[in-house]
Amino acid sequence: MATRSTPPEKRPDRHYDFGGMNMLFALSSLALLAVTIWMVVADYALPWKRLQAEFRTLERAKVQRDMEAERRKIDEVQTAQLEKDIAAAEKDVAAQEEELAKLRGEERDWGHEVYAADASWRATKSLLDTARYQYDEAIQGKSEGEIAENRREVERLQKKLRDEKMALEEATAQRAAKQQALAQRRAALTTAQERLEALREGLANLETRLAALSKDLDFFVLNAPLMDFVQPSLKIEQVILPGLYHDINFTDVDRVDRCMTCHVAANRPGFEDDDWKQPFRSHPRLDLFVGDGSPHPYTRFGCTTCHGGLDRATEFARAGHTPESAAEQKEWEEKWGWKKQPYLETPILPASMSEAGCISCHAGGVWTPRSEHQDVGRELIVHMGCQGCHPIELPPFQGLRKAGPSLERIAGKTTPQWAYRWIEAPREFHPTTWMPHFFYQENMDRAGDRERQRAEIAGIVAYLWSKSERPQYPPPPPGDPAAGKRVFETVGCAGCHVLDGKAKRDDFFPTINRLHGPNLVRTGSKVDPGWLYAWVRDPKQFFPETNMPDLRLTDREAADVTAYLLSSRDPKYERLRLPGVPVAARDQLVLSYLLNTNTIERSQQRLREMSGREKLVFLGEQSIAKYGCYGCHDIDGFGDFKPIGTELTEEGSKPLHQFDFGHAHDVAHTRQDWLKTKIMHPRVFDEGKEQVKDYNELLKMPSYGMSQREADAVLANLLGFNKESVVATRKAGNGDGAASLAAGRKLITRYNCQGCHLIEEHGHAIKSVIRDPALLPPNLAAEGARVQGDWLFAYLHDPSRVSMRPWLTVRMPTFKFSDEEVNTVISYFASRDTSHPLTTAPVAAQARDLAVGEVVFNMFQCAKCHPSGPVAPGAATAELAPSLLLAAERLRHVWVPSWIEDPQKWVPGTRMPSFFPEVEPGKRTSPALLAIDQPRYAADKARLVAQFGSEAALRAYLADVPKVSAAMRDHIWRLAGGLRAGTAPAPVQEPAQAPVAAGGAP
Amino acid sequence: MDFVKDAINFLSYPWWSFTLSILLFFWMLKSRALWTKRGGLVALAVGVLFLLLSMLDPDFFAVVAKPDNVPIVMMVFLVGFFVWFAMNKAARNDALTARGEPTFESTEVEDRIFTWPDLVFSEFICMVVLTVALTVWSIVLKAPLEEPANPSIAPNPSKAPWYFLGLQEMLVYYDPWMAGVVLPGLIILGLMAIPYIDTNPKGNGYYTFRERRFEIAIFLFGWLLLWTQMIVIGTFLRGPNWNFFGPYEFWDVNKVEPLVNVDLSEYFWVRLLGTGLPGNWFVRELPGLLLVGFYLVALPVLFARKSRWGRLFYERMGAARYYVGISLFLVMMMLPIKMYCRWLFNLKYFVHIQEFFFNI
Repeated sequence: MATRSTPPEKRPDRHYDFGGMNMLFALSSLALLAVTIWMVVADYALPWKRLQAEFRTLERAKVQRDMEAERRKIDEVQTAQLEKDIAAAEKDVAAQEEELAKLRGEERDWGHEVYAADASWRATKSLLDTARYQYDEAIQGKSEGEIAENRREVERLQKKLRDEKMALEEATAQRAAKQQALAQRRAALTTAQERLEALREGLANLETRLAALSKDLDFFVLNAPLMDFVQPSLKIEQVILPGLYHDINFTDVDRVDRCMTCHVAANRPGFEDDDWKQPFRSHPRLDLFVGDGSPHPYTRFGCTTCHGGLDRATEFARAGHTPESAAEQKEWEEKWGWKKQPYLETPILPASMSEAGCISCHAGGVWTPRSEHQDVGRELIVHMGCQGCHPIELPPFQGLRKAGPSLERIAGKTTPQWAYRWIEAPREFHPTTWMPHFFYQENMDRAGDRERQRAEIAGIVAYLWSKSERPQYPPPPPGDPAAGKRVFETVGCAGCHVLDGKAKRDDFFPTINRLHGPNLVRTGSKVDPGWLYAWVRDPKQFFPETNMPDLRLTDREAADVTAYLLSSRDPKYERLRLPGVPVAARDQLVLSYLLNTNTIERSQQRLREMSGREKLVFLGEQSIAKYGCYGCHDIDGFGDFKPIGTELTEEGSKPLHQFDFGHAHDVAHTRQDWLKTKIMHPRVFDEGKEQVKDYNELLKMPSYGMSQREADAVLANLLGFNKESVVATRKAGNGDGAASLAAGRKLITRYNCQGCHLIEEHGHAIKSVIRDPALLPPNLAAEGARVQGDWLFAYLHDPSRVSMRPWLTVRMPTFKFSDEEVNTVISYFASRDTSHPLTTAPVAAQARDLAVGEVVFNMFQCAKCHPSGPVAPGAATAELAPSLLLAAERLRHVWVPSWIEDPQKWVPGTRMPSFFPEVEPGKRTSPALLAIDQPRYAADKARLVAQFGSEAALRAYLADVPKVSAAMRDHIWRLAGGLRAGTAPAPVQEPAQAPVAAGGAP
Repeated sequence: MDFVKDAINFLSYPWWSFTLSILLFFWMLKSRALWTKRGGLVALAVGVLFLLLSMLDPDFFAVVAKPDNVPIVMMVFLVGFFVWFAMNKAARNDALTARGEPTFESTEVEDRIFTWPDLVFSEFICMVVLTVALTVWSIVLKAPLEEPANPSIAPNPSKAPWYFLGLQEMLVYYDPWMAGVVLPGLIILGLMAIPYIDTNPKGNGYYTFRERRFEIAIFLFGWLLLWTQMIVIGTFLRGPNWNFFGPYEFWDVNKVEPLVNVDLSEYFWVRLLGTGLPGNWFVRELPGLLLVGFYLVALPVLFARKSRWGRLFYERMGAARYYVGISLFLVMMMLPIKMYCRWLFNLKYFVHIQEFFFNI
């Protein structure tokens, strides 16, 4: 044992005790080492790496499970047989081993030959290139002799190159011959092996995947700290998205989405079920979103484009995740260290609001096809007239008429008593109305507020009546209410109206088409009978901007409907008198308005000078301006007033600190919670503040009595009104016809076509009244491909000119469209169905086609459903289809064969049967081929064979589905008189058994 | 508890806190109780206790624990420590010299020690320890990087870097040309001029207070009250819209303060003489111009001629040093004077010539 050295004493020439200093140095160095390691670990151990590693483990287990399943799926018997085949083939091959060995040797030798020939060919080629260059150079400035020498060299090399090329080709051919010989001798073995491999392909793929997922030495080395710069398997997954911008710093920056760094399986199917928790789940609807073949593949659209959030973030707490509930927030705080990001202006939209993300790109198309509640939310906004007070500079909300009716002639329609009660509480009269409650809300419940509001309402009524025209209407002729009810329920009124005192708006959600027009309950207590009669006969004479069409009611029908509507009344609204005006409140309000523009003295003088009536009208004018009534109604005197509300165009990007939460502390501090609270309870943020505010400072947004569903649908739009910019080319529908689509959809929404028709998979609202699907107005899928533009133009202008389905009671109304509107509809259908030019040239047909068409037409009994004459009352309407006599004028010549071939392709769910069964995808068979041999068609067959010259030719024709369909079309055209005179080939025999022909074309 | 908080909130409002700071400052210089070891420890204990107890308050915690502000908390303690360190030594030396003994620096320099290993080794250890501390700090308290900025929505409050917060606080009282250009320029010039103005050889190479009372007092007044305290106020007590908030108050964005500040010209013409403001700007601002002129030009002269102290300084320093020094001093004192005028009289400007944007 070494002798312990004595501790060094403090030396006189040393200032410090060095034993202590050394110890301190040792400790601090160790601390530095520890801290350095900590730093490397802290820098390395990022959460996403842990998640990716965890997913690897989980996916491994899944692949192993899949392999089990795959193994079970593989047919044991087939495998055993194949293995036996392989063994036999191998034995066979082994028997020829000597010969094979020789062949292999030869093949190898030729291979060497190829290599050598190729090498020298390449060398020569290179030499030739050089020689050509030198020759080229020599031409400039060298002597004739040298030029000639260079030329000779080039020629020599060219010849050499050709020889070598030939040698190379020869060697290659020889080798190929040997290879082929070898392959032939092994053919049986190869085939069997390939079949076995095909059988096990799924398994083999899974095995490859499993190997890639293993956490072996490579995995650890490649991902080790300081080694992971080479080619780590745990790495940030990012996609750069040009044109889908973040708006920052007055400039647009391409998004760089890194979400899939943690959401590893978002674009892969197979991780949908509940075993998979976020962040490891597949995105729902991979056929629509994120998936490679979807319209929105991850590589082109990323994630934050739709969902919001911080694109570059790779940490949960920084990505902008938004919890759905307080419980989830708590869970996240504990599990992920979630906290609010006060500076992130675009947090991820709550999962239930994801559809708001569509708007940045889809607003231009007016509709967002296949959205769940965004389109209905947009319609709610339009119906509720939000845009009347809140400008929304987006295409769906531009150029709309005002949401409510014009009040410029209100005195001809109803009474001041009714108007007073209506303004007080519209939903009490019409529970489904879009008109909101402005008065008696929770923030206007202080002392004296009730009187002020009564004065305001009385003022508004007084103003409206003082300005209104007073048209007079003669009383209606007497009508039968019961007959009127039948008319109401059958001609189509119910596509836009309900008559139900108990109905709630929410009952209709999400198909709100029947709320397009007002609920007609209690009409008798509301309107002047003479006005109503005049209105149902021609709405536009009273209000030219109305969306209500003319249903072409006869005088009798109009009288009956009038009687029916008037029979719905509520005595409560008839015994009304205008309540007395609270004078003090009226004067106080009038004075407050006068003071805005006058001196105190002048105001008081004016007040003294005004009569009671003048005061009331003045107060009404000011109140209309205050509440913004003119946002939804045309009111005389308010033509050029600006909307009173906050612009909503970028509401979804409004910074959170600009939302005033007031004293409402139970509302979560997020954009969506504020907005939802606001639209459901517009005055709630005045809670507590009403003690401080003056009467005219109180919030005045009215209450729409929105249900949760309605509010969510509206919110799914509001949150999407953002300032995220997207280049035009990346927006939805930037192609040809997009503008036509948008304009058409807007028009369809305005006139509520979907109240009766099915358009883009939405509509048929009237089916709640017309229950028999056979009596419903038609599905307008494929309309653009189906009908001729000229015909549609004429029809939309005057639907009464032709009745395609005379057995329907419901009528296509006359909308009195302008030419421009009709053209909008026509180009909408044309763009939607990408149909051909709008006119169809006159057509001709071959005699042979006509003959076949006629036979097959009868064979398929087309005339059974497509009548050509008047339909007997009580006929089985479920079987009926439009008369084919209209075909030539109405339908597109090129479309009809395709329709006959496969009706479901054009109109899913159509009752038109498919005559040509699809035996395999894309291939249909023609039953006519078999049917023609039946005895009952013997005569037809004989005639046709004669016409075709041989039975084989006829059979070939009949087997050809497109030809047969086209032949049927030609026959129909002849029936409808659509074949151009003189081009229809001569002699066509009148078919004996064709019932249609007898009727003749009209 | 709330009472204590309310009291501290109340006392922290500038008028009170600044007045109390001045009183505390002069008491500190006078009593010397703080410069002993015990005094230092008590001050440290009070400071730490105040910090820890206050951290229980959520509003206080939110401000203090903000990663940007953590260094300022450290700075407060460091400034305290170094001032105490110097004053402690000065007090001890003063006691020694009062007894006629040599200062301890003079005995200390007798010893010679080697650069290596004594100095280099200890510096090296310091370096290692500091590296450890900085590394731990950077791991534990992440750099406060935020989401992409939106320049159309400036953060509220918008604060300068911490070392400029004193300047930003000055902007409350003076226009930018004054608070942002003249005053900071003179601070730098003044600091550069110190060796030329202060030729007092006492205190060279040793700590002392008694022999350099004026010099140290003036410097510390500027350093502690007008610079460090301004940074502390700017960091911890200025909230949204640069409104003042007590340490336990919630930073309410909507806080409204009355805008009732009035110019000197209005005091003079409207309130004192009862007439309207003269139309000519020169006449209107004459009282303010005269006042400022008196303060900056006449006062130094009068002080040198009429006051005993002034004569003493003038004689000791000579004309050039005296006038440069006192001008710098007076300019420095313009800040607290304006602050008090603002708090006591709602004074907006001494001179307010909006005709060409010249305001003092």
